[in-house]
Amino acid sequence: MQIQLDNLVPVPLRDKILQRSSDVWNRQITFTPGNFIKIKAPSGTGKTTLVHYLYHIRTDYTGQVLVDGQPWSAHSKATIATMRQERISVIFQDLRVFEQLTAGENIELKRVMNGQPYCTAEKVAEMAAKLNITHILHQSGRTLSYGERQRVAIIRALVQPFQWLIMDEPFSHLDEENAQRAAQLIAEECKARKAGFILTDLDNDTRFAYDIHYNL
Amino acid sequence: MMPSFYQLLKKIIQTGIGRSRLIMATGGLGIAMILLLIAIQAHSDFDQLLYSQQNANESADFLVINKKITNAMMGQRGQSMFTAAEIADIKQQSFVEAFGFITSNQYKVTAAAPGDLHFYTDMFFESVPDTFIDVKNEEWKWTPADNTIPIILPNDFLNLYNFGFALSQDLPQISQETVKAIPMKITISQGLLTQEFTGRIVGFSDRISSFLVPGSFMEWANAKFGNGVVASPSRVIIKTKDPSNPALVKYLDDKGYNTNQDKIKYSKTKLIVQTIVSVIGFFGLILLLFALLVFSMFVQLVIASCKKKYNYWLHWVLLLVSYNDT
Repeated sequence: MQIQLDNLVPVPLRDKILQRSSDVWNRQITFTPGNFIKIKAPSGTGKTTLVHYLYHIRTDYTGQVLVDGQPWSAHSKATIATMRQERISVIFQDLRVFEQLTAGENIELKRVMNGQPYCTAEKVAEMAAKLNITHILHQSGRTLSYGERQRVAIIRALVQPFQWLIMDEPFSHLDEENAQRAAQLIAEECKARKAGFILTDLDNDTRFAYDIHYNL
Repeated sequence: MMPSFYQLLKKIIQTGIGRSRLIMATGGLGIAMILLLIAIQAHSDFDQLLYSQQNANESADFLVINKKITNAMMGQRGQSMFTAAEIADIKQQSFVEAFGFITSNQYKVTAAAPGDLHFYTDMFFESVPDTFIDVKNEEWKWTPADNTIPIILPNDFLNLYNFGFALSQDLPQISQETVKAIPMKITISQGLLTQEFTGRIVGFSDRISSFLVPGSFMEWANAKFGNGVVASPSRVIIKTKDPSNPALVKYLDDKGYNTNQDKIKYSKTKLIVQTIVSVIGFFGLILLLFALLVFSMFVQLVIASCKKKYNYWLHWVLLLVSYNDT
């Protein structure tokens, strides 16, 4: 699945962006399938906005986001829903863990959503063990720390099939050791699917073997 | 065992915020509905009770209305008569379906039994429009050429005689048929002017307590023997759908009019029941409104709380669900 950006400019940041140079905004970019892509972005440059554009939950931009050669708006709701179920997964910066559910239920919700679960429950348990959150799976989402929520959000993103994984500062609340474990799990899962990812973050890092770097 | 997807979804949507409010609103709604239903039930029950028994055969009731005779009015005949304005006022009341005068005689009437019965009495006649009479009889007509006057007696009158007077005075009791068979000698007069007729009883009325003659006779006789002045009626008769209508009873009370109290006895009960029913209904309605208000606020609250925090996420979840089968 090919994702292309065609002179994409967010309307709210328009003036700010046109005053400086960017590798992403207002350019022609093609994300090659299977690539590990890092987008480094200082605060306020529209990092989260870009992630929302890529996942098509915000559309206040000029230019186009092309998916399979078609702009998002040209795809039907059914197609978009299927894409989100099977081809593109996401880790939001604000994590969006449901506080009414336990950590385990948050993951389960996503796992059984498709009717035919992609991952087995054992696989989930295995991933939880790798990220050291087995003991909090029965805890309410309300009582989880940000670090725990972040790891729940990562596993939640990995229980579905995908060709692209979009991540917005996925390790911001994790210590170095846990960040490394999470990065390793993500890399494994991407390779198993022959999938690529687009990761946005504030700083440079060497947690992944990135194929391409962009500065937002 | 993990709950199913829909159980999880339900758990998200039922946030637990305002659960007590939801229970209260549901309870309130239940009570409101019960009150409303009770009001409707009581209303229909009472209506059934009132109309199925009382008006089984007739769709309407007739009331004879007169002014109450008080001590102050005694000796002043004019005060018991209805003025034109009062009559007009009665006619325009909503509960009055039909209206008629009871016309009195303006001449002297005497009646005597034929043969050796030695019965002689002064009496009076009245007439009402034919539509108000409950006795249907082909003989009930009179033209100036007829020498026989058909007369309708009140049933009560015969009963008074048979069971009160006759028994105590050792006189024979008389059947309706016998009374009808006796030709009475009726003499009407005014001063020196006298005319004799044969009076024949043609029926007995339960509705109007008076000695009735056909309107045509009354008109003719009043013209011939009367003093020429058209007298105001002191009794009127109305036809009404519901004699227990509280509005009717209140009207009669306010004006100081009298009627058959037995017919309007349900009025007070009806008034009380109506008041209770409307109070219950009113509170039911108020409660219903409040319950609905709380419900709408509850729904708003849930939507707002979902929207604020989980807009995209929930939207996305729902999007995935709704296209799951396609």
